This record gives sequence, structure tokens and C-alpha cells, in this order.
Amino acid sequence: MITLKKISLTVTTILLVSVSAFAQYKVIGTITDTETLTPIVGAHVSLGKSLTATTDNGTFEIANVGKGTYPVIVSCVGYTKYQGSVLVDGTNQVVTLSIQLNPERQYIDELVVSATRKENRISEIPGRIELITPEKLAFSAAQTADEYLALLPGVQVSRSFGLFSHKSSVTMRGLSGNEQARTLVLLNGIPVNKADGGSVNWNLISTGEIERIEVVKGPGSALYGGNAMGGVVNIITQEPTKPFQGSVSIDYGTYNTQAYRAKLMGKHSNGFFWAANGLYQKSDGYITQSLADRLANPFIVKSNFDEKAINLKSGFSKSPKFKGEVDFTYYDDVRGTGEKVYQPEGNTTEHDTYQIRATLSGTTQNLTWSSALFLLEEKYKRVSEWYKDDYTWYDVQSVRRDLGLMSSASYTVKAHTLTGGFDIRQGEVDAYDIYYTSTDKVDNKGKIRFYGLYVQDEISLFDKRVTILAGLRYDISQFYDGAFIIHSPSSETSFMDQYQFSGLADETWSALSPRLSAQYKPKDSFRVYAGYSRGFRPSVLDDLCRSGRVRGGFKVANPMLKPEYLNNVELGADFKPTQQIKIAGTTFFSRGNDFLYYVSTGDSIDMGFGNRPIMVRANISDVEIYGLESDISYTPARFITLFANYAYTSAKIKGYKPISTTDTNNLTNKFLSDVPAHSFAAGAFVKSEIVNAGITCKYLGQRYVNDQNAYDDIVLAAQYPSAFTVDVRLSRQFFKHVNASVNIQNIFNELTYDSKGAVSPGRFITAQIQFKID
Amino acid sequence: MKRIGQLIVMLTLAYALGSCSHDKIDSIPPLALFKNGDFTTEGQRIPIGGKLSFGIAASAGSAPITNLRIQRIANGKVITELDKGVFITTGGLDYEFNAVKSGSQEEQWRFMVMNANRDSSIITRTVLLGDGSAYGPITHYTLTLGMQNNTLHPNFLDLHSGNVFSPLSISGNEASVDLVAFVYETGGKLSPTLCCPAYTGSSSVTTHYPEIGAWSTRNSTLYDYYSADWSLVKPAEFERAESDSLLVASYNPQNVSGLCKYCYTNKIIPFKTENGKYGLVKVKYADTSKDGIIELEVKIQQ
Repeated sequence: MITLKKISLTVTTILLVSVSAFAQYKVIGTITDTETLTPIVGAHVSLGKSLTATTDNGTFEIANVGKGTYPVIVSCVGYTKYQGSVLVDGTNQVVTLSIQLNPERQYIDELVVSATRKENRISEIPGRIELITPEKLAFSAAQTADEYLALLPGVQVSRSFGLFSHKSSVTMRGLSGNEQARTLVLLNGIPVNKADGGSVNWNLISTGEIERIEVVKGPGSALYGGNAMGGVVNIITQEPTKPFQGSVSIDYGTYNTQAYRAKLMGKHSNGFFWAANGLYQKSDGYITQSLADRLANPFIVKSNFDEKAINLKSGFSKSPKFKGEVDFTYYDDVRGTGEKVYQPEGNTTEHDTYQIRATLSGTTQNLTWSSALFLLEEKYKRVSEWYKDDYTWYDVQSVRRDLGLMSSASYTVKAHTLTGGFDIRQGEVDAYDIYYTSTDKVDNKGKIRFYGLYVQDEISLFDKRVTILAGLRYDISQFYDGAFIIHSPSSETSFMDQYQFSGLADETWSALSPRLSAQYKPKDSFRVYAGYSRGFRPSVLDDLCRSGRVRGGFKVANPMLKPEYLNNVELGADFKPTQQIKIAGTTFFSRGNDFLYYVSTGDSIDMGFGNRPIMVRANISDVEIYGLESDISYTPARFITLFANYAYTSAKIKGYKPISTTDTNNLTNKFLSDVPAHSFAAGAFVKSEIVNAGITCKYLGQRYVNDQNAYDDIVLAAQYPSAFTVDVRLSRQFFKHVNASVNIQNIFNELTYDSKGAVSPGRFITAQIQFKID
Repeated sequence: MKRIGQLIVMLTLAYALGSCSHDKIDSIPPLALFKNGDFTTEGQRIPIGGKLSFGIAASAGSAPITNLRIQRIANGKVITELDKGVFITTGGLDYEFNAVKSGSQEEQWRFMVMNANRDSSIITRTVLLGDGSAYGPITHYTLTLGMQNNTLHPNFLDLHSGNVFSPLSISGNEASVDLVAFVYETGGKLSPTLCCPAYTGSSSVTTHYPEIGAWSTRNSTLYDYYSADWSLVKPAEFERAESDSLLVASYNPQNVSGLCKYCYTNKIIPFKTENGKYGLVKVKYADTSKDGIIELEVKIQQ
């Protein structure tokens, strides 16, 4: 019996020890939002190899957990991922966790810097400001910086050949579609419009470096002077936040398009920061010419490209009190334009560009200040060759240089924030066309200098329920050293003999740009504003000092050109009926004076292939532009955002002034060319654990091809047909450091044709693998 | 701050180095010479209307030959008879040029060859006026051609003989074709147009006659569109022309092209064929539809 008792006791002891050794515990918890403290439903919780999801009240439970330390990862769409650990030491049978997730950064009412030249909330600025947030950037299928802007109401992007375009323009609010000079573009607050043609090399701005894009609609000349007549686009690039971070990526896509990007940056605890970005991109391209041209011309080849860019940035920013930064960009591209006779690469364009900037900024108690120096130098080269009767080959070589100093300061006292400053800018062009199949050489050069002085008062009243913004800027400009000279003319250029000039007296003009706007915001969910502003656009050097061939005729330089002006009144309102819905509407009416337009002089000239009309850029017309922009966005849940916008624009010439007695044109009541009456964009951004998806569509209505609103031989109509395109972007993160994405532009392969009958690239698909470093 | 300073210095140096221009390497200019053979010689006397013939040979130098320019200087006036873009990388230039003696007592002919470095070589030849006249006989005929979509009339013309060919009969005769006609829309108007097989501009002949793209020989005929546009040859003058005097005199080489637009009824167009024959073509009637016809009266040097 004793033996049996002993055995029984031993077995019981063993069983008890075994139970104790393999005890199973339970981990339970609650996941909540840090801001609202509300429970988060459907969050994924992993504990070692165990996985579960939170219930309707944000709780979870994982049973049968042994002793040990386990990694805990909690993820949910719309929140930043939580990573931590839990120790199950057997002290308690149930381990309870309480985890709060941070919502991902939202840009619903973020700070912008472009509208007032100082930081301000969008909802507190009496004007229409659009912000393209990092979220929108991440979900849009754009290949270039300008393409992001096409999703905004009333913004028109002209990029006929997608990635293969050697030039592109962004305009807004009914100002003629191909005139980039009427919209100011800033890169981190510094202008990138060139004085030569007003154009912007959008290819220079790498999409991977963009943090956000701010768009100020309507004349911004009261703060920024020339070019800001239609609005201001400010592209803000990313800044380092960690000691070492970055990414490398590889893209491959349609037409054997390849891109290799590297982005490395760091910010040290001592305030020193640096960044280095590199891009190499190339593509075999496609044939852009019309079918008729392909049949006619045996020398047609694909329009391809090869481009490289490097950007180096360094600076110091210990606190908001002081920041200094210098950055350098080098960019070079060679773009085939689709014809090759004898030259190794055929007809090409090149933009060999250097950009150096230095900025200083600081803040004291009530004062913020900033100052910037910049230089942008572009060595442009265009090779032109063709075979028609015989062989013609010439190069255009042009050095375009823009440099300047910008300075501003803001001081806040009581209800007033006073901002003032000055800008000095100089633009130069020194260019020549050099012929190799004849003796001709044609020089054109000129310089233009601007001095601007501005002041602005921002008044906040009644606890910011009423905001008044008043500003005034005075600009004075001087055009000098202009020349157009022909050397050894043959029949290629002798017809331009009579248009040579040099040694002209300097041309000086000035512009006064006032602004007054006010806003009433009775509550956070509603605001209404009204405003008046005046903008101007100076003439570009290309119009002041270059004569030459243009589409449809021969353009004569006009060194006497004055700026054009636009007076604008607008009324806008924002309404948020719920936290998820935002509705915005704006209506505007603009009247332009001395509008710059290409018009026929009534004379004609033989350029070697029959008589063609002589055109001249002249301050000829008063124009009337009015329109309506509406925008709605709906975010029913954190993982989905829907948006749609529509813009209507009427842009007509009023009061055409003939430029000479031989000018028989009457453009009164003609519509401005390249302006669509209707445009529309919509999209959906969806986040999920499987894949993030962005789908967007754009509609661009019909627009007139020429100033006469007349039938065009090449387009075979008076207006370009409307265009509707749909883009899709899919992306997914793998592991912690790998991101894969697919971009499909123009998924339904809608082909559009430009004024020369050249065709767009159609459906364009690229895939990207990105490796993050941090 | 020290690092920032160093970076600024580095960037400035990089920019300065990148901006440096490189010295031009010494280049060898082209060399032009008159060819030996049965050509017009220095100081030769040629009667008015007589044939001038020049043979030019040139070596390229250190870059391809890209331009040949021939100018006639008579009575202090410079007329560019030919300004031709070429691209000759090997073998040099070998070119023969025919012209007709004008009425001036002395003509200087200047031949310039330029290469892609824009270095050039110039040679000259002086020709004096001989006694009498050497204007020659002409061939005169009238015919009807079909436009590009017309299958009832022939489309291809040999200007020298007046022979016409249809797409069915052209095989073997491609090298003799100098002129085709078609209608297309340009400048907002439907234009009856004369063209040569070699023309490759934006309104190329192969757009309207794709089969020409496959021809091994495509003749170039140059039309003086300026004289046609401004009606410089009057119908009465055309009617009276019995020698090649008017044909030679009315062709101005300064404004010529292988494509001649707006050839409406009663237009008279001076031309010069690939082998140097001058002529005039009068449009007696022209349709403005692609399946229409064009009726031509031609006078050409024999």
C-alpha cells in the first residue's frame, strides 16, 4: 500500500510539475486612436507567429502563449505601424496591452508658404490655394512633376508626348494653354521660369524628390511680380529627418524606358544636413509623327531620350531660429525629335543645365526672414536636319542665364502681420543659329533686369473669423543689349535682312500690382472670401530679340513690347458639411489689357518655300476671362479618398487693336487659343493591406487651334478634339524596405494629336522596385 | 558652417570646370578644283543662249562637305544659281553644272565648297560673251494628267518627251518621270499641285503616290514657284516663245522647290529638270478634286 501511495504521489507530482512547466498564458489588449482615443476596428495584431485582428470594440485576444519575450506589431490602414515587444513571464495568467496608433499625417488644412511668402494655414488665406499632398503624390500615376498638376481644377498641362516631351507648360484660369510665362513656377520658393521664353524645364524636377506642391490661383504679382499673372506653383522638395535615410529604385516600362534613381540624405544631431539625389533615365521612344509624315518622309525615326541629373544639397538647421542651405543641380538630356538624315543622333534637343542656390532664413520672436541667391544656366542645343530638295542642317545654340536675389521679412504685431521685401532678377540670352549646309549664321541676344519692392499686411480680426490681406508691389524693368544680326546670309536667312537690329536704346517700363482680399470664417467648417488682384507678365527675350520661323509663318522680333496686365476679381467658398466631405467653389472674372498675342501683320514673306504670313508678338488686345471652379473630396474612411472637380472657362478677345494699317485681322470676340471651355478630373485613392491603388481620370474639352478660330490644315478642324484619359497606380510594400509599384497612364490608349499632327505615346506602363534605406 | 563653406567652394569649382570651353582643334579646309574634260574654259567666249558647262571636284578636308554654292556675277549683280546642302563624308565632291550664257559681256562664275567646320574653298571661272545667238529649239505639247485618285488618265510625265504613264505602264520607265500632279489641302485651300518624284518635304509625293517610294531613280525637277505665284510670265509671252530664250530667262533659281502649290488654271510655271533642261508649263485647266484632272501645255528645251 505504501508503495502504491508513493507511486500515486510521484505521478501527481510529475503531472503538477508538467502542468507548471507548460503553462499557457493569454495576451489581450485594446487598440485605440491617439487623437480621438476611439477603438480601432480591424487592426492587425501579430505576437510572434500568432496573428489576429481587433474586434468591433477595438479589442483582441491571443491565447496559448508560452513564457518569453515576443515582438508585437500592430498595423492598420491609415495609421503608422506600431512595433514593440511584450514579456510574458508567468507572473500573471493574462497579460493586458493597451496600444495607441498614430494616424498617418493628413494634409487637410496644412501650412503653405507660397500664398503670403510666410507660413500660413490654407483655411486662413483669403484666396484659392491648392495643395498636392504627399498622399496624392504617392497615389498619382504621374511620371513628371507637371503631370501631378493636371488633376487640379482649371489647371492645364500641355505635355503632348508624355515623358518624351522636350518642353511642357502649366497654365491656369483660361490663360492661353502653351504660355508658361503667364504662370510662375517656384522650386522651394525660387523662380525657375527662364527669362528667354518664360518656359520651365519641368524635366529638371525629379518626381522622387517632391514633398508637396502648392498652387496659388489667380494673379500673385503683388508678392512675386512678373510671370505670376495666372498663378503661382511652388514645388517643395523633401528634407532629411533621420541621420541616414534614402532609397534606390529601378523603373522599367513601355518603349524600353528605364530609370535608375538614388536618393540619400541625412540630418545629424548637430544640425548639419545633406542630401544627394541622382537620376539616369532613357528610352527607345516611339514615332511621334503623323501617318502622312511617315509616308512622306523616309528619315522619320523614333523620338527617344537619354537624361541624367544630380542634385547635391547641404545645410545647417539647429532650430527654427536659423537655417542655411546651399544646393547644386546638374541636368543634361538628349531628346530625339524624330528625324535622322546624316547626323549620328538625328534631330535632337539638349538642355545642359546648372543650378546653384543658397538660402538663409531665420525666426526670432515676432520676426521671420529669408534671403536667397540663385543662378540657373541652361545651355540649349538643337540639331535640325532634313532632306527636302536637298540637305539642310543647322544647329541652334543658346546660353540662357537667370540669376537673382530675393529677400523678405515678416513681423507680427497685434492683429497685423507685415511682410515686405525686394527681389532683383536678371535674365540673359546669347544665342545663334549656325548653318552647315549654307553660310548663314544668325545671332540673337538680349538682357532684361527686374527690380521689385513689395509690402503686405495680413490682418486677423475677431479671433481669426475675419482676415484681410492687402498688398502692393512695384516692379521696374529694363531690356537692354538686344540684337538680331545675320552673318553671310544665303536664301535660308536673307529674307530676314530687313529685321536686323542692334544698339537700340534701353527699354524701361514699370508695373504696379495691388491686391486686396478678405475672408469671413464663422466656423471651421465654412469660409467665404472675395478679392481683387492685379498681375502682369513681362515680355520674354525670345519675343523681344529673335526673329525666325514659327508655326504658320515668320515671327518678327519686337523690342518695343510692354508687359501685359490682368485685373482679377474672385469669390470663393469652402464648406465641410461633415469631417469627411469638403466642397470648394470659386468664380472669377478677369480683364486683361495690352495682352501679348501673335498676330499677322498682313504682310507676307518668302522663307524659301513660298509666301508665309509675317507674325509679330504685339500688345494688341483686351481680353475677358471668366470661369467657375468646383471641387469636392470625400473620405468615408481612412483607407479611401474620393475626389472630383470641374472647371468652366470662357476666354475671349475683346477690343482688338490692329497693329498697322495693313492689318486686316479683327480678332474681337475670338476665343483665346488652347483654352478648353470645360475640364474635369476625378479619382479614388484606396489603401489596403494587399495593395494601395490610385485611379484618376481627366477630361479636357475642345480648344481652338489658332487665334483666328479658323480651320486648321493639320488638325483638320478649328478646334482640337476633347480628350479623356484614365490612369492607374498600384503599389505595395513588401517586408519593411521594399516597395513595388505599377503605373499605367492612359489605360484605354486614347491617342491625342498636337498642332503638327504628332501623336501622343498612348498607353504607357512602368513598373518600379524601390529599396528604402533608413 | 565650415562644411557648408567647403561645399560652396567645391560646387563653385565644379561649376567653373564644367563651364570651361575647349580650344578648337586645327582643322583642314576643303579643296575645290575644276575638273579636266569637255567643260567651259577660262576666258572662253560663248554666245547668248549658249551652253556653259562646269565640272567641279573637291576634297572634304577634316570634316564632311556640306555645301556647294554656285554664283553668277554679271553686271555687278550676284545671282546664286545653286546653293545645295550635301553631306559627303568620303570620296569628295564630283559635280557637273550646266547653265546658259546671259547677255552680259563678262560673267564670273564662283564655286564655293564648304565643310561641316564651316571652312570653305572658292574657285572662279570667267566667261566672255561671244558673237551671235545660240538659243535653241524647243519641244511643245499639250496633255492631260490625272490627279492621285484618277484612274482614267495617266499620272506620270516625262517632261522631255511628253510621254505619259499610268500605274500599269510605269514599270521600267520610272527613271524618265519628271512630274506628277495631285490635289491636297493647304493654307485652307484645295491646291492643284505639281511635284517631282524626288521631293520629300512635308507634303511629299509619296503621300499621294506611295509607289514612288520604291523607285530606284527619282528625278528632281525644280519649279520656280515665285514666278508662278506672282504671274511673272505672261500668257502672251508664253504663246510667242518659239526658242528657249524665254524658258531660260524666266527661270529664277533663287526661289525654287520640287513642290509647286496653287497651280490653278492659267498659271505659268518656269522649271528646270534634273538634267538641266529649262521649260515652262502652263496650266490650261486644273480640277481641285483628288480624282480630277490637270491639263498642261509644256514648252521645254530640246
